[in-house]
Amino acid sequence: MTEPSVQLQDIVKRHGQTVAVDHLSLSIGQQEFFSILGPSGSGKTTILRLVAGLDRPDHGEIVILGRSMTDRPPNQRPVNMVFQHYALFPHMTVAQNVAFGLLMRGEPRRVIDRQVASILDLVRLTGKEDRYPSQLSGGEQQRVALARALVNRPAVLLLDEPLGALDQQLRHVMQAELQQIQRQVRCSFILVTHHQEEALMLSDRVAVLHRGQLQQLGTPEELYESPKSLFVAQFIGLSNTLSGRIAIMDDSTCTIENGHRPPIRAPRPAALSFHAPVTFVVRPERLRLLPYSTDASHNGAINRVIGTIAKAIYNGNEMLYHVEWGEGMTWIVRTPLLERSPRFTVGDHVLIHWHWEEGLVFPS
Amino acid sequence: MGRPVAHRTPWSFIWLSVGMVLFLYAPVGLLIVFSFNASPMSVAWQGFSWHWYDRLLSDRAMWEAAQNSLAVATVSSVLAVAMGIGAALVLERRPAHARGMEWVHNLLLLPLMIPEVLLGVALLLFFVIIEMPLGLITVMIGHVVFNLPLAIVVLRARLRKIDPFLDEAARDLGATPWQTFRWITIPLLRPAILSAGLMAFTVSLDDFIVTFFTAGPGATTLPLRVFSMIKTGITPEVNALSALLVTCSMAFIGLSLFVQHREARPLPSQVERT
Repeated sequence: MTEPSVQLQDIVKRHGQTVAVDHLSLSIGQQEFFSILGPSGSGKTTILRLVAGLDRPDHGEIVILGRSMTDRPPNQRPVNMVFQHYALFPHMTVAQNVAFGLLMRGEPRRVIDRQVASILDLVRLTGKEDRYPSQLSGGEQQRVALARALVNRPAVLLLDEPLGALDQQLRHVMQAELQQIQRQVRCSFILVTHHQEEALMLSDRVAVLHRGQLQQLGTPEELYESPKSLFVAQFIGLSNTLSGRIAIMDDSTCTIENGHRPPIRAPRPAALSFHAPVTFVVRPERLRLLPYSTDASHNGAINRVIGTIAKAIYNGNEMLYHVEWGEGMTWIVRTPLLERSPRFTVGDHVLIHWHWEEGLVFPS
Repeated sequence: MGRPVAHRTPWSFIWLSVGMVLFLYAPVGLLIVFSFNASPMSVAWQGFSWHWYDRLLSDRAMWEAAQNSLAVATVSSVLAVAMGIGAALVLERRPAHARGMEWVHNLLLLPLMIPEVLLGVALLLFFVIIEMPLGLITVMIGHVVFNLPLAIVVLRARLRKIDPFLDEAARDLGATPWQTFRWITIPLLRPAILSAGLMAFTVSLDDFIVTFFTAGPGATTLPLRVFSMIKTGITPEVNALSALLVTCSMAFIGLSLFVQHREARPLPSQVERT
């Protein structure tokens, strides 16, 4: 692996009594699209501000392209930021906003004009050079903010919830555009978002943050398929849960019991003892539904529970069923709309079944 | 034509407004009218004349007073605005942990509340104690004292509306603190700087009390001159001088309001957008 573009080494940042970032270490590769994902208040914006130099860490080192930047002021760091609400200079035109960084660096007029023109072309704002920010739409303002940062050719581009202020449709357009721009400019992007879908779609790697602590770091697939904690499992994607205790264990599986409900077989979690309280998690798309009357051959590897359809939601490419089972529990089952797949309506009795390997078990 | 009757202002309201305006401006209007009176006695009208303005403008002492007034107003308003920018920045952009700033703010605004006579006496005492000779300099210092809180109020109000992230964006884009101040803060504060300056200038131009206590020989300003002329009776010359002062003040206040108003308006093309 080449030299990382940004390294955070054991960073601690406190805001008064609360710890915003708690002994965090991260290493972000060159040209990597890296996301920091977490609920609001998890300290993700603080990390960007620390990298940008707008805040100082209470402890730890920030290394950018191999050089320690911990004590450098923001204007001496090879990073640029796209602010959450863009922070465009209202008294300057689009072209002046974009030229600002180059002007501060003392580039000659000729170079500035050429680079501003080429970056505005990249973000498709040619022709709007002389507009003021207040005359632009939200999506255009967003692109000016992007251009204003990228024109300086930073080693790292920091994006603080850049799509948060846009409506759903524009959001999708801008997501695609961001990805394309990142491939063209070839600098690393650090995106901060609370929108898990966005993080999964755009990123090479995602860091999940909760209360200033790193919960898990991995590719979108790793995070979704094998979350390391209940928090990650519940934060990323939809999940069905059941709490209980481990009743039986063998080498690879365990059985979880919860009151009168049927016991469930699941992969055996490491380092958990017999009778430990656990939470079982399974993704809605890993569950299958069968009409209740069907009497499939009994197979120990398959979990099956009996339930009633409480809600059936059609959303074009799949059905979302809310299935009630076992005394007031509701699980969500996602089934693709295939020609042959059976359809259910509210009130139908069904059999939810899944292979034990699809489940995840976490200590509660 | 199409305007509903209900939207018309009632007559009683209009008369009340006219009455108020008359109450406020009749004395000033009368003063201006009588400055054109041909009679040397102020109270009886004897025909129109520019005579008193002629006499006023050929009076050397009057020109000197006008020069003093202009110098005091210019220096004190520029100083007050410059200091006000610093104070407003500290008060508005303070770090989150800085406590007690509201008290500093209240202390800075106190001169607005203190009766001017007290302020004048206090300044006089102060200058005497530190053995500073009274003159134009002491008048200027005195004027800064009452102009500074005025400037702070205007500047701080504007600064509060400026997004603090703009400063951070500028720093992030490579601007030094000074460049940020020069290219972001000052341009965005400009309307407030202008209107605070014009207001301070006007107040300083009109001030009598603080000037009276802090002026020494040779530091006569226009208001002081008016006062000394009145001692020998109200001549139309006083009227003429007062009329000029009133006109100047109103022009400046009008300009200050215009500047504020213009910046508050949206850009024309913003309106045409949906």
